[in-house]
Amino acid sequence: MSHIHHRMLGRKSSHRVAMLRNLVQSLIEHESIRTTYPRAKEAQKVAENLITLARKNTEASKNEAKKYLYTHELNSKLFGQIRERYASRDGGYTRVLHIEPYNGDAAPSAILELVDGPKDMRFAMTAKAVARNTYEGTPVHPVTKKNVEKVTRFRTNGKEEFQQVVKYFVAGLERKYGSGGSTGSTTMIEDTSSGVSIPPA
Amino acid sequence: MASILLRRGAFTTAPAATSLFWRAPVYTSILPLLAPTFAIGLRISIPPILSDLWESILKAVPKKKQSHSRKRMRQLAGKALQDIKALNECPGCGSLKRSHHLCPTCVNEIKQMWKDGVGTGVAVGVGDARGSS
Repeated sequence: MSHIHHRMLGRKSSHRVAMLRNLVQSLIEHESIRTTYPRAKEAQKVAENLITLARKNTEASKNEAKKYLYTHELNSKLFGQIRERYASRDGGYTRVLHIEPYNGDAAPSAILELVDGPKDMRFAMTAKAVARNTYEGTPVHPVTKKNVEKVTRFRTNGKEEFQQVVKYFVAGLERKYGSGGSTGSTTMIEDTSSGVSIPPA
Repeated sequence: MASILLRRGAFTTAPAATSLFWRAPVYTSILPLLAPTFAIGLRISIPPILSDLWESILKAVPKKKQSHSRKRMRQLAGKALQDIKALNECPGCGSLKRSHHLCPTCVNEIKQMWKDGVGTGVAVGVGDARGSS
């Protein structure tokens, strides 16, 4: 079976294809889906190919995508919003993140998401890490710095949105534990966050 | 069938006088030999408290408690549960999490944030994108 380069997912071919179609539709509709890790990895392949078709944006690619998607709304979303979002990005439109198992059989679970979309978990998680550093007044970890660069690079208004999310989480921390660095913390927000996001840019 | 019901009543609840009165036609019929067996069958099937006990009696279970020595020998032979050692600190909240996995607390907080309408880029990102394009 070494010549087969995909997972069987315990299904017949028709069943598997139908399931992947459903997963990919849900991904395009909701921007982020939660499923098992193997399914996420398989759906990721299909989704990447579909977005590549959208980026080609020819008659042939439109027909191909139309064949795959069930509804016209999703097709127009793919060739509109999503195509514009990834116009300048060469591959890597989706991301799979491990999460703790959510169902009873403890199957390895994952989040499959569209990068730079409205439900970009990694973007938010990086902002949360920066928010914690900001609140505690600790230096930002070098890996987090690199991640800030990665998640804001191609995003429209990425840096501004990043600041917004950081502020949201800092406000949450202050509500929960009181304003940590007293009045100094509010000024620190601007300093550290701008210090984080601006130098790599 | 009526005679079975009568016998059941006679064995369980009916007073002696009425039971004598009821028993008379039963003994005249063919059933007197069968009647005790029916009664026993009913007695076994009736009490629901014993059903759990029956389960445990009927299924195969270890006869004796495994000794400490045997348990240790089994576990040291490699059948013990493995410890999760791949752990690290969540950069978002500082709690312990499995490495290469997202911290569930932070994931929930981020989902809450999206519900609050922050960070989805819909209010700011798309609006600005439309404005610019």
